[in-house]
Amino acid sequence: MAPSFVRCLPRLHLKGLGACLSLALFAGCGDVEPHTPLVLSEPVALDEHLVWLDASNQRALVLDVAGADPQPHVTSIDLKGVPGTTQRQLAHNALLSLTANPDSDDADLVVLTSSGVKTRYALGTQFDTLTQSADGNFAIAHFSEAGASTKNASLLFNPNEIAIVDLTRTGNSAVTKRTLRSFGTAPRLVAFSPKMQLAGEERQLAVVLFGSQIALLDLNYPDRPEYTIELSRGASITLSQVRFSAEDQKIYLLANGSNDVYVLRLLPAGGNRENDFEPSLNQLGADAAPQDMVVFEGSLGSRLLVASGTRAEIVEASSSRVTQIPLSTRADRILLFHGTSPFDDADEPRALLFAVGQSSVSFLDLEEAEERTTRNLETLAVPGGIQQLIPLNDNLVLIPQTSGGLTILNLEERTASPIQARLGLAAIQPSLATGRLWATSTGSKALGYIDVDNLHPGEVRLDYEIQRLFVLDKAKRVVAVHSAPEGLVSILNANDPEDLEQATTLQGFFFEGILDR
Amino acid sequence: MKQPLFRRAETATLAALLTVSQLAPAQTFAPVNPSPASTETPAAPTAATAAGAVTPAPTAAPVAAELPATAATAPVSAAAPAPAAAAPAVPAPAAPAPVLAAPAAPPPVAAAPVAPPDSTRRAARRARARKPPPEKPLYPLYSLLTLHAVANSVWNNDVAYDSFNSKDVGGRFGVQLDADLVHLTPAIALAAELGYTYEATDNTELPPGLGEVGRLEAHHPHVAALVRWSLVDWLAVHARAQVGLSFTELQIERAGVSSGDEALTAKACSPFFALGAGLSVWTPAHRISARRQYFNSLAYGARIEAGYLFSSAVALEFPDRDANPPERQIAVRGADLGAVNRSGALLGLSAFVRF
Repeated sequence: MAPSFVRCLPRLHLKGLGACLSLALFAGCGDVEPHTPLVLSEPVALDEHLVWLDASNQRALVLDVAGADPQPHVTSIDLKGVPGTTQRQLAHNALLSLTANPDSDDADLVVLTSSGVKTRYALGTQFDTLTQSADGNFAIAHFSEAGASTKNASLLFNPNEIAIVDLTRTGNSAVTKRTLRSFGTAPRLVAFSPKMQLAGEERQLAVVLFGSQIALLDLNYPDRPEYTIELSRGASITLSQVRFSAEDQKIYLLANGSNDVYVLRLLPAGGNRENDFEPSLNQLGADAAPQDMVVFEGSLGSRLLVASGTRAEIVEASSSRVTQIPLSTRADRILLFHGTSPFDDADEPRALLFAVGQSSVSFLDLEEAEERTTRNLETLAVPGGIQQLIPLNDNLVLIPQTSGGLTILNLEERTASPIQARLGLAAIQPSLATGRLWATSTGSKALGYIDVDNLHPGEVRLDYEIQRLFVLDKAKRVVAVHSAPEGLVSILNANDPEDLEQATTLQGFFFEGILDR
Repeated sequence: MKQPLFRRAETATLAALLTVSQLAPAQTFAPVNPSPASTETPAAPTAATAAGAVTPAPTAAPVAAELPATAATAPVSAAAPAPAAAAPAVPAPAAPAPVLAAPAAPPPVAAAPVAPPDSTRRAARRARARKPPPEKPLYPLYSLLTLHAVANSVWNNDVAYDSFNSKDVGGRFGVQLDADLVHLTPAIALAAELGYTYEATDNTELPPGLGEVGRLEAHHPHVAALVRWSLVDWLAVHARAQVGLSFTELQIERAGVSSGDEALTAKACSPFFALGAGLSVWTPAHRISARRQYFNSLAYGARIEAGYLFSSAVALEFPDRDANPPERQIAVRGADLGAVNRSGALLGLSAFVRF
């Protein structure tokens, strides 16, 4: 018989072992760190790639969709900041993104290409709006009206602070930060002029619209003080549109709440000014509130065409002469084009006047319109109603109908060809390179297309519902982005979309390697 | 006292080992091809000569070689006493001298050994009756098999594992059967093991969008070799080498995702290897039968073991799928999600019954 203490030992050991195992199982277990969810922007196409910005992980995800053998693999680019406002850099194959440092008030403007961050500009302030020139060479970062009213993260906040960025340069000298003078309001819009001759030098201006005042900035000399011009006393008007006439060195402005067209003439400045030009304000009265305007160059010189609902007005700024042309159909938008007409083979400036929701449009031949008035006017019925207007090549215009179909409008022949659609079209992508219009509908798997040459429609059904559609002209690919958190795109040959053996669906690229992260 | 079968086998093994080791000097004592020097020079005195053998060296070798084992070992035991452990295993040297003296006759002796007289056999029987009882092994006596109920914990600090278990430690539960193959010494035994463990974990805290539940299920059959050293009669330490196969299934349920795939699944069969060491404690053996040679006692115990498990990783991916109209018009290429590393530190606890 074993001694009693020996018989006790196994029992004690068992308790000890149990305690050890419990310790290992529960006390020593490492808890799992939660995953950071993907907060992705809408995709943007960059030539042969699709780019998503992941705000939660401060990175860009680039998917090559144009390679010979596309793979479900995304390249991650570290943005070193939370991406905010992002837009395609005009006339460049790059993205501009305002990124904010979450740990401070610092912010950068990042120029992003498919291969990585090309340039990073330190702005120092977390702006929420970015406006760039048509050539993509200048950008101005500023606060929006909403941002100015809701920006409460900082103790002190200057809503009139802006940053002018020369995107053709690098380094700190490319960024000019300044505060605009104001009469108590914050910037609403920024517009860039085309290059124009001012004071013997070709230069570009930026116009910042406030409620009833503007600021003129010389982008050639961003350090020079701006001109601040108050167009109306009080807050009764809100500036809404700005147009430029490079030939006449004039700036035209429209304002909500005013029937006037404001004209700024840019003249050489006197010797006592730091700027070498100065604006001169003129105010042209109109009978009805102008809603859209374009500047055109006719045989008689530069003119301004204004759409005011039930009438069109041609304004000669130098003489303040206004010619009114009554419209048979309401119009608040203008599309200027150059081409022929069924009655005139001359290549002249002409205008299409239209309004969203209307079922007819007006053509106005602008040459000699001040004399011929309504005789230069023609009305055309557009079935289905106008939802929006998308200019195409060769003076063709695509009009998505409010009833769900499409209308191809030939501006020179002045014909409207309706294309019926079973479903409301959500995404319409014209592609000049493929000579096709690509369209899809919300919640549909069908990808439709129309040959622009003969208006022959075609359709191919994909396996998943299409959320976004991209046509890569250079790569001759059509990319349908499907709604799936893991990442799901279908890539088709734009020249032969119905041959699905050439098509590929890529799945799961957002979660590539996620188990190992 | 009756010896159990395995005990007899051990005794015979030890006796054989001792016989071989003690015969070795005799071979040097009588080389098969003696050198010229040895043929001219008498052999040096050996244990055999010291024991009283009168046969000259050149003839002693063939005589000794032809003797029965009992006769050959007897003088050796008498001349150079074996270790205490070996003593009971060898028949007592009742009359060694006459046995060796008998072949003192010329060479034909080897072909016809002389039987000992009755008095000698009686003396030998008496000597055997007086021999000490065999030494008890320290492990519970009369037990061959050990049946374990196993709970293993594998510390898996691989990030990928987190998608299938909210903790880094995964439990594996099962059974295993140990069988003692041989007692190298009364305290050290070599055993073989056959076992099976099952593992199932899940986690609902997946990366957002990946799925709702991640599940891991695995079956692990294995074999192992174990060396056990009994320190006292209730405690032993051991070392164990284990090899096996893991039949693993990973699954991520994705119900309701717009891409329509209900689940992502990966099945893999992969080998694993583990090394571990630990200790066992047990209760005193309860005799359950006095008549059986073995399986006649019962002991309970527990074992704890620490080690490391080496196993290959299991990959999970969105599968590539060919076009299969009308169900699927376009071929799909799926991304790799990563691989779950299955290696990790091992802590095992088992309760066992030995019989």
